[in-house]
Amino acid sequence: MRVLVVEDEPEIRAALAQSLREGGYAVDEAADGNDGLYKAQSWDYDAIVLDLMIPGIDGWQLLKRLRKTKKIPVLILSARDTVPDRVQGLDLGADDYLVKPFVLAELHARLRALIRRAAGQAKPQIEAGGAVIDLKARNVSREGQVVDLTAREFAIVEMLALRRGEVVSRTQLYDHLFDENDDSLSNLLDVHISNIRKKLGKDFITTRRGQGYLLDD
Amino acid sequence: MLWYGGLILIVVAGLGGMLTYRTYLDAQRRIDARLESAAQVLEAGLTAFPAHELDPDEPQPPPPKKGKPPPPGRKKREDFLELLELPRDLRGYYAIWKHDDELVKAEGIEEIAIPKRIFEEEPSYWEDDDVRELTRRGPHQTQILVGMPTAKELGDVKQFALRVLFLSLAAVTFGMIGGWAIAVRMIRPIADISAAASKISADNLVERIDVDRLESELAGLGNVLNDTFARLESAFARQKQFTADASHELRTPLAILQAQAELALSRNREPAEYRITIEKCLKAAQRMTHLVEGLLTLARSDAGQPLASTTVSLHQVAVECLTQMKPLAEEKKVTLTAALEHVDVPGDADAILQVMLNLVGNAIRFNKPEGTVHLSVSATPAEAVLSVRDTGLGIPEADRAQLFERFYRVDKARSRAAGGTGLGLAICKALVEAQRGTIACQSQENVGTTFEVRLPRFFV
Repeated sequence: MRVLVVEDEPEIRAALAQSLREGGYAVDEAADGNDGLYKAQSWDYDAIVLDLMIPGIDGWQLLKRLRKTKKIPVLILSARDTVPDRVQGLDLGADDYLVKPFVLAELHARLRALIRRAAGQAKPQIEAGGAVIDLKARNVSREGQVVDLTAREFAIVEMLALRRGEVVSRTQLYDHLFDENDDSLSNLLDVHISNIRKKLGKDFITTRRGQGYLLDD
Repeated sequence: MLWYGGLILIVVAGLGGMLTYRTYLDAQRRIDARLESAAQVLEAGLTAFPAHELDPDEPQPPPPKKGKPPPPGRKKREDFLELLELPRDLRGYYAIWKHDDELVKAEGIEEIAIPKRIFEEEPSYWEDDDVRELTRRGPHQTQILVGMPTAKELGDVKQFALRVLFLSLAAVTFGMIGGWAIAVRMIRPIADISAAASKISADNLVERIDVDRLESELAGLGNVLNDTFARLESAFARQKQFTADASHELRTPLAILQAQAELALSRNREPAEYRITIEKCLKAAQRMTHLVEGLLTLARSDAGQPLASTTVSLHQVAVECLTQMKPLAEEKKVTLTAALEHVDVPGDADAILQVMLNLVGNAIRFNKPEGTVHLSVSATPAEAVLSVRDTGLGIPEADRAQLFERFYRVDKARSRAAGGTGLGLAICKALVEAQRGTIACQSQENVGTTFEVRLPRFFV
């Protein structure tokens, strides 16, 4: 999953980005509203974490303009805690609102919920291809046994599980699994897929030649 | 409302009564005039009588000779009586008596007794319910009584009185209704004003009185109130903005602390990583301290807490400031110059030092590399002038008006990177004004900025 963090306070941005990366997300960063809007419109992020009081266009403006074209889940992260601020934020199209100072664990949980709901998934556990994918614990288990996957491997499984029954192209996988600073070597994806197949069985992921990958229901 | 109605009633009743009474007197005077003229007619008739016919003191004319006809032209008593005629429209009656109470003639009346008052020298009037009579002496010691019915004349008066009464009641009713209507009309705008005013609260300050619908005096009041509301609104808006800014500024370092600490604890880290985290936390705590100090200084000055007032040597304070700022200037490669006179002002040395540190600090931080900052202390007869001139980028004109406002930053990112709280100049202004001084800023873009503080040398 790839998220965008729009936050002008460098220390908070750095901590957020690091924490999200450690949580298995690909993270892009923007320090002001203009950069944030540009990035948000250029990529299909799985979620955006948005501060309101930022230089350039402010968070509200960014949200308003973004909502003209994109329905990406947006979580507002702001020091503005009054009810009118929260109401305005949600009414402009934000999906969630978290007040600073915040607990990282809560931010993670809210982001997971936003991404899950955007994929039409209500439960944090997904059963697919004969395995149970736990989005919260970030692991996959087969017949009650937890299978040891790397963060990248899990991210691929997570993405395919959230869109199970759908063919996910290689480009989509790249776009959602690597951030702007990753060197996305194309064969790396094949390596990850083959590793997953080794761990979860040959048939766990189906390859559609020239189209992409598929996880059966 | 009631007393007002009562007042109208009294006034109208008084006027109506007076009018009716005047009309009654007029009617009576008219009656008397007619009685008088009737009496004069009768008198004229009586005068034509031969005196001896009426007056016993007059010598009798010799009796007429028998067989001789009376001399021609001589008239009989009956002929004279014929002359006694009342004006026809009087519809009255009269009686004439000789001095010995013998009735000479009565007309228009069946029976009449001689009234006692008839012997009075002066003419006199008498009336009862439906007639009025005049009695007076006539020629040849006769007594004349003329009377007329008053029903018609007084009936007119009565009718007039009724009309007045009716009109009065109408006037009172109309007055009450009209008064009420006017009162309502006058009171409604006041009620509107009070309704608008009562809707105004801390949560709703946009309400205004609709001045266009008011009469000029009330419109004046409405305008005054609207101005007050506008001032209140802007004061509240500023307060709200300040609270929002303050909470944002206070929460940000807290958010840094929270996020950094949580991140560090989320898994096992290398000692170097912990070190970085702790350094970041320390920086956030320092930032928080700096901010809280600033907010407290402002809160104290808002509360009007007086500063110390001793004799302060500006020279000494400026030297102290330069000493403290030297490391920063060296770090930023900025040259510090100074021209310091020996001037004393009454005031608080710590506050003045804080102002100077703030201004010089800003001048160094926002200067160009290899720039200069010039601090000068001079004096006019009444004021000490402290100025800080830099060779920085200058402040755009659009920003200058808000420069001294709390949390106002010309360049947000740069100010934050330099560790600014956005309160420095607001604090300077508060501290200078607490010592009855003024602070002003002159700036030219790409040339530099000069801040000038003027402090009174003597308290009046």
